[in-house]
Amino acid sequence: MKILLTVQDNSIAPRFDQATEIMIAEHDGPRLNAEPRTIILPHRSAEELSDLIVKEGVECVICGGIEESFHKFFTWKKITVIDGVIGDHAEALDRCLAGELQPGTVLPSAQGKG
Amino acid sequence: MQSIKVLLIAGEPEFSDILTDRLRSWGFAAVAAGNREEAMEAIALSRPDVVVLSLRAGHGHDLDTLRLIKNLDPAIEVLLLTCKGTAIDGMKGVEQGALDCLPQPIDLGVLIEKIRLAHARRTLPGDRAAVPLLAPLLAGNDWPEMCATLLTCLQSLPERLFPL
Amino acid sequence: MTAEFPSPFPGLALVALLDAIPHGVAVVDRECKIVAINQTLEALTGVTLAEVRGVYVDFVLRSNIARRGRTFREALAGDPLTVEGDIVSRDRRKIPMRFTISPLQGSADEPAGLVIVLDDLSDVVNSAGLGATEDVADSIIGQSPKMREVFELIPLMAHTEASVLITGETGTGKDKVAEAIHKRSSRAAKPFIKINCGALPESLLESELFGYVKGAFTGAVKDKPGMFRLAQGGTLFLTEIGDMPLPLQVKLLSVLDDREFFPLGGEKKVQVDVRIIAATHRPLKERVAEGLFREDLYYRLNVLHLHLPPLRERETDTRFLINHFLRTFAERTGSSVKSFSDEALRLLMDYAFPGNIRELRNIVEYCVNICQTRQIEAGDLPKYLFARLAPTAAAPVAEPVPPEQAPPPPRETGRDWLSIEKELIVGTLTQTRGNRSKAAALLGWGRTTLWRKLKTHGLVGPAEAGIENEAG
Repeated sequence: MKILLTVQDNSIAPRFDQATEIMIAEHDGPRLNAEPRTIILPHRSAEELSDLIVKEGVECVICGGIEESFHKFFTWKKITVIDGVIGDHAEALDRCLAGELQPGTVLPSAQGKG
Repeated sequence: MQSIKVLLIAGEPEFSDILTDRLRSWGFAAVAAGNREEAMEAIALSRPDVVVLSLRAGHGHDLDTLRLIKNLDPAIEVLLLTCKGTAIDGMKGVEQGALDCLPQPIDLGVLIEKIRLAHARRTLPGDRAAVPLLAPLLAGNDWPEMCATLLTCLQSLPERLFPL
Repeated sequence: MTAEFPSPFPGLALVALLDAIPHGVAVVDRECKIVAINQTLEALTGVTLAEVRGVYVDFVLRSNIARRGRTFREALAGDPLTVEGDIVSRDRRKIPMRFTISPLQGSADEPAGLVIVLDDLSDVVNSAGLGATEDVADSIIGQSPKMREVFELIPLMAHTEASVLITGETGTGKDKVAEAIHKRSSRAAKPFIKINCGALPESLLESELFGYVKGAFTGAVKDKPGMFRLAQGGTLFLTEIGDMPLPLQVKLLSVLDDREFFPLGGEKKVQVDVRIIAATHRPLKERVAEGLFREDLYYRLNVLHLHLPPLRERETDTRFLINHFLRTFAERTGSSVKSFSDEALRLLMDYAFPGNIRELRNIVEYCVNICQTRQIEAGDLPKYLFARLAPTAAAPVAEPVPPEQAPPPPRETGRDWLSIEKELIVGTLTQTRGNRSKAAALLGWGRTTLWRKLKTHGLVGPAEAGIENEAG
């Protein structure tokens, strides 16, 4: 199963439609199959990113702010969206794999370092 | 081993920023240029090992940059990044001397592998040069990189010995 | 590590100062990490200051102007800047915003941080006809007598704290009316938060409304405020209230009565100061009869009632709206379409519009895009219209349309002014538990005015004189 995260440096990117870098993690249950792949998008486009998500057969998207229309679209396509996430993408992925990531979560890592 | 010098030529500054950041974090000495003029200046300042050139849709002259670079120094390896509108240009580019063309959005891992391959090719003029190149690889454990380098070494040997 | 921000008045916390400003405000340090955000911004973004203190500001704002931090760094270098862009809000809306970013000088040479003020440009953008497809012409337009009645009621509804129930078919503009009531009320400067009670499963709806504490369930990594808390001082708009699960109806009723609640997994009560507006397209009385909606909650919500008539009962409005949308879409797409042919117009006027205004808008937009000439012909109309010219239950629009509604009870239609006013007074008095001074204040009247009206409505009599003195 594939999880896609929109990232900015080491964190989850603030907005789906502004994302330029994504990671795709393949997993079997709670464990990753391999190192997540990083893909750099040539320009910002929520539509193109949506296409990519569908083409790649992604089952779960972890992102920051996303517009209702895209959220509805993914839900309709049976793709889980965990939106409004703030924090390190590695931590977000870990929690997601453990089945513990809720939409709107501000992860400890977001406030911790600094 | 010295860092591989990569010059990225791409019109989109955000994309450039992110890609050069990522490449640097992977140990490459990466710089970016926004257009042909900047690119030629950058090359004059510090000759790159590998150039990554983005072919934009609607910018037919981007491919000319490839020719300019190859004319300047045929030893610089060029990788082309294509998008929906420039896939054909990409293939033309390979005919004109680019090492490879990769469709966007690019997988960072794939790009890194190609850059290393390009660099390995470049540093090899002949089998003698291959020995110092191979030694540090054999000392390390980077199997995929080793294979890539071995393959290019083999490809450069006279055909009658190893037809491929 | 936070920089020091001395308070101008002893004892006045920075945040209290910021809360008085009716725009979203964020204060950040030199690393662009949040030092403070005000309540307006909390409501917009759906997070509280406690959750995001120390977080990089754009993770919370979710703007398109940050340029990976460059914009803020430029401001820190000394020059205040104003830039227009947008944010994505808690409820997944893209909201056009003006960002005013000013450096904050501390005692050192370099700025200690920044103040970022967010100015909602939605109204500006919409009135210029440049709004996003969702916003355009969900505005309340209309000149039919029924709509004029609605317009007149809005300020009255705004001047009281009583709960309002808005009924009407889908696409009749319930959202816009609710927001209009909020904007004209004393709570206008405070948040207006909308929740769709039909869109979330029960457990999610409960945590959305009431929030949860850390550890309440797996994944509850820290306290999360609910919408009741975020709407504090403002208005909470509950749509599709008819779909609210029964257990939550119980909880809602007790919140309305006691003005306090426990967040999920919490042991500390949270005080509530929120005005409720609810909306439904379902005939609630029927749901009460079916045992799907609590009768006591129904009466509690129904203190004030506003019914938005469907488009087909709004005579002249259809024509007016057709022209309005035609102009708007033609202008936006640069189309040369100028009018509808007589036949096309006739077909539209005969159509029942089960999807009401939203459907009408979609149809006009479709026609403007399809039509290649200056006049829209019958052939340009969407094909489904021809199959459904008579009012029927099914509707081909994207959103679910309710089955044919039972005719509304007589109380809800053809009401005259006096009965509406009487209802308003009674409702407000109920709320203030009989306290007439408070009721008068809420209604925006002097005491003598209220007294006079009470007499007119026959609400004062020898029997009543005794009640007046009870504390309630």
